[in-house]
Amino acid sequence: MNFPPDGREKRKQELDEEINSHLNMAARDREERGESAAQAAESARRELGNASLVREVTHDQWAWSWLEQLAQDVKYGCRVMRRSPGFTLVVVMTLALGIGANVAIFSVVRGVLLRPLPYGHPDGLVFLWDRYPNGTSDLAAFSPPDFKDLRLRTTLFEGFAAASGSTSGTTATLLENGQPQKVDLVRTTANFFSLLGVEPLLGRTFTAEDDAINGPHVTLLSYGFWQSKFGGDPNVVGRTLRINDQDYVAVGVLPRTFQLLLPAEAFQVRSADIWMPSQMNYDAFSRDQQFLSVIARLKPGVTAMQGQSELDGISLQMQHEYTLHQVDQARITLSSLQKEVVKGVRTALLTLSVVVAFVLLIACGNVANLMLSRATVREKEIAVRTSLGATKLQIFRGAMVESTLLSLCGGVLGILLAYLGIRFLVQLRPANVPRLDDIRMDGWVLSFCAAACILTAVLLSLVPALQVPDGRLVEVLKEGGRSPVGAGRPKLRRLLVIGEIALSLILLIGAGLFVRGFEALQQMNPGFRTDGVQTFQLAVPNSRYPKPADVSNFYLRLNQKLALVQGVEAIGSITQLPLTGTSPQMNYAWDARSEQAFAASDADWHPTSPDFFSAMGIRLNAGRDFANTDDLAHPRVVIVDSWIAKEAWPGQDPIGKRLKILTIGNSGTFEPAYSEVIGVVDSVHSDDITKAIRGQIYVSVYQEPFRRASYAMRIQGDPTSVQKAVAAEVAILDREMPVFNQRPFQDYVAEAMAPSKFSLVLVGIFSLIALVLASIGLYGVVAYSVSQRRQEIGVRMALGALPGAIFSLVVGQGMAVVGIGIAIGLAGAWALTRFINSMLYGVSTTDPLTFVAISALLSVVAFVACVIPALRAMRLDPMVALRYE
Amino acid sequence: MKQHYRNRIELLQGTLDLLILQTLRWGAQHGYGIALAIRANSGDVLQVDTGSLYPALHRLERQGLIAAEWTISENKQRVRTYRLNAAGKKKLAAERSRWTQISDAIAGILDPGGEESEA
Repeated sequence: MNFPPDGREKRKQELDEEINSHLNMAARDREERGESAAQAAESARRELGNASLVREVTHDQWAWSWLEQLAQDVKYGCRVMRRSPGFTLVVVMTLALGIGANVAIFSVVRGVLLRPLPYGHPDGLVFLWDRYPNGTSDLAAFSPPDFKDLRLRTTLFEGFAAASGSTSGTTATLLENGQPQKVDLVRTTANFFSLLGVEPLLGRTFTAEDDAINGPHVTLLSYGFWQSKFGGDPNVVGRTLRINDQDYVAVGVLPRTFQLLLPAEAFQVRSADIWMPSQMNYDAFSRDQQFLSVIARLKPGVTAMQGQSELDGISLQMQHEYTLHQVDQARITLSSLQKEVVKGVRTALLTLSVVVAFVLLIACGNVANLMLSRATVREKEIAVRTSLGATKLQIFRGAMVESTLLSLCGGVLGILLAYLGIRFLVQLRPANVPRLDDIRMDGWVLSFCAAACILTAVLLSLVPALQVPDGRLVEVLKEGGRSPVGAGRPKLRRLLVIGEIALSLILLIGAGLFVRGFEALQQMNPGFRTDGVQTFQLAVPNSRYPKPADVSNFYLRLNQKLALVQGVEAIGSITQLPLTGTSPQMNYAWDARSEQAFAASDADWHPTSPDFFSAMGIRLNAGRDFANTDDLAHPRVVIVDSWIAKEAWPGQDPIGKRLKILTIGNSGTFEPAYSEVIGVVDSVHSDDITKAIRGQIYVSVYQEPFRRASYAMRIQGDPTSVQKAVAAEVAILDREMPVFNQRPFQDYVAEAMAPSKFSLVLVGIFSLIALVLASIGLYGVVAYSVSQRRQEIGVRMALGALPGAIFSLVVGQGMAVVGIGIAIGLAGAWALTRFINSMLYGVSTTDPLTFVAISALLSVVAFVACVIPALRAMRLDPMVALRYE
Repeated sequence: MKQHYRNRIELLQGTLDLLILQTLRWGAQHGYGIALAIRANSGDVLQVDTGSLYPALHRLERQGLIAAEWTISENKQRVRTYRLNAAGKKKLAAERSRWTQISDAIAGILDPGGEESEA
């Protein structure tokens, strides 16, 4: 029996008439029994009960199409939401917070971890490592002859490409209108861009001819450089740039979307302003000069495992053929470029995903609790519907539609929150998170949001479905709404709150550990000063200073002048300032036995000027600092850190001992030679504050004239004017030498702290949200239980219970819930915190202080949440409470 | 308070259907009449909740067990009258035998005295 829509209207009228006739007949019978007309009509109506509900349920008996059902349910749901706007607002806001947090973090996960790299067919791209048996000194760098061997001996790869900094690091000097400027420069093999699948915006990328030894002077421009230096001139191809005193022709411009994505360990290669072909004579280098970052592309259909087994074979061949590899046992390994690029933030992002999932669960717990409280009010309505023949499925469907409406509203608002959150996150520009510009809301993110909404809706609709136990319908109906059935539910409500408290305790402990780790990081003595030091860098070009002696003389003259600059207290230079990246590596040995392992040993190597230790606050433990006379005309000297001193000469005075390292002679090539140890300095955390201390070898910059120098200076007065004076001194000596990266050392420290701070800030924010939500949930449960027990409390007070006893009754009950939640949370935290071990520094994942302090904090907050309703219970007037009956 | 309600008997959904069908066996009747008949025939023990009566009638109608038409009552009022049809009669017979089975079974459980006296 299907009725057209107008038929349905007619049926409704007919049902009204049918019910009216029923009322009339019932009233007439009552009148005949002697009731007054008005009284009879009233009684008949009461007997019938809630007429509109009866009608609605009767309507439900008619055949409905599922679409009509849905429309009906939605209409009903909307009505329910409008009827209690306060409830709706709180629920929607809570859900928006939970869903928004998840959507925001998923956007980051999607953009950074999941989105394929912005290259052509990124699946086949791999990054290569040189790994050693000891596992600690793996290098993401290859020597040119090893690279050449890779290209010649493999068959399963489409190609290998390499990138490296120039001889003076990754910087070059651009002369523009006679003014020197520093530009970032990277040299690549000709196939680098075609291997990545990057098409130029203008012109072309490099060809094999470009890459010939002593080949043409050509350069590729990055989009940003083209915009800023050439104003986006479309005819830039063919124009000439003066770089490092030579003319280079621009042959192309890279697209705006191009970014160089390599793992953080890639040696001295960062995104650059200009790119040049490497034009490298691979045979002119020795196999321990490792400075090429190497990427490769597997042939289509070749798996990473097949590629690796081919590389294993080649590694073995090379260990047979070359003495160096026989000693260092180098094994070449590949891993997916995508994985390598994001591995530094993977743990942090996955942790955050779990954190926000917890927040959503807590939010759901709160909303479920709210729904349960309100369900007591609606229990009668639901019971009536059930007894009138609404099946459990129908009730569930209604509840499902209602929770879906709520969670959809929450989801829409959540997307808005997530959008703002992402903007905040990207603005933080955490230095350790790659691909920030790939973070945006796309179809994936929206689908994720929809999925989160549906999941939320399902979780929430389970609550009302659990709500009416079959056997208790009558009680609900007869007790006229103020039923004790609600009292059967507190168990569920308490369980929800226990879960919420446990989850938020886990989050808070996580946040607490990050705080402790961050604290440890800040209080740690890295071995050098972190404040009050100004820095700048310069590079000495090959063109004007071809011989090592030229560079050495330049540094000597410059350093003597810089020491006299007004406001400079101490100034000195080093290759690589602490915390700014990987330093060049050096082999070393101190006796016949250690010489056996010479090739496999390594330490950080720093050409250093006199006074650098003083400027940087690195303590000289024994011996003397470098002097201006430690130059090419004098015997080689070396300063070691206490780590090497202890390794080589335990219990002896290292001063006057001899250390074998590679030294550059006047010929310009490296040769092993013994140098005299003249001093010992404190160990420092050189490239990564959170990693174990490595051995440090310092040599005199006048004896090892490295072409790039980073200066540290302690100053008095205004940093800006001192920096200006310093740049002026450099210009007096060499008009065309740019001074760059003039910034306080504190900046580098902040960057080094960024990863810890990033995790700390985000986990902190989310766990505070969790704490607030869980406290509200606890408050709700305790307050509800007080209102349910008014009568009991009234009786107790009437029988002489003191307010204090009532107070402790209520608080005690609340705190029992808190206690169970904390116990579960502690166990959960103990089990889970080990997964964030790699992100923590200087604190154990089961740090007892954190566990205890956070539990105490949570208890205090929870106590406050219990006290408010307890105070209300104390002030209860027993007469009023009893009369409520 | 709870004891107060204990002696009331709740009409299970299926039971109400059975009672309606049984009542209609004696002839067409309107909703109010069905309610009165059930109460009278049970000696005032069974109270049909009017709120569940109409949904039940409309459900039975949809299931094709009873048919409805508008007639004029003895009080000259337009009333909707329900009549048992063939499918309804079949259903009634089936439900009756099922009911007998159940009530025998329950009686057996509640009153095992006969067996004891034999032993």
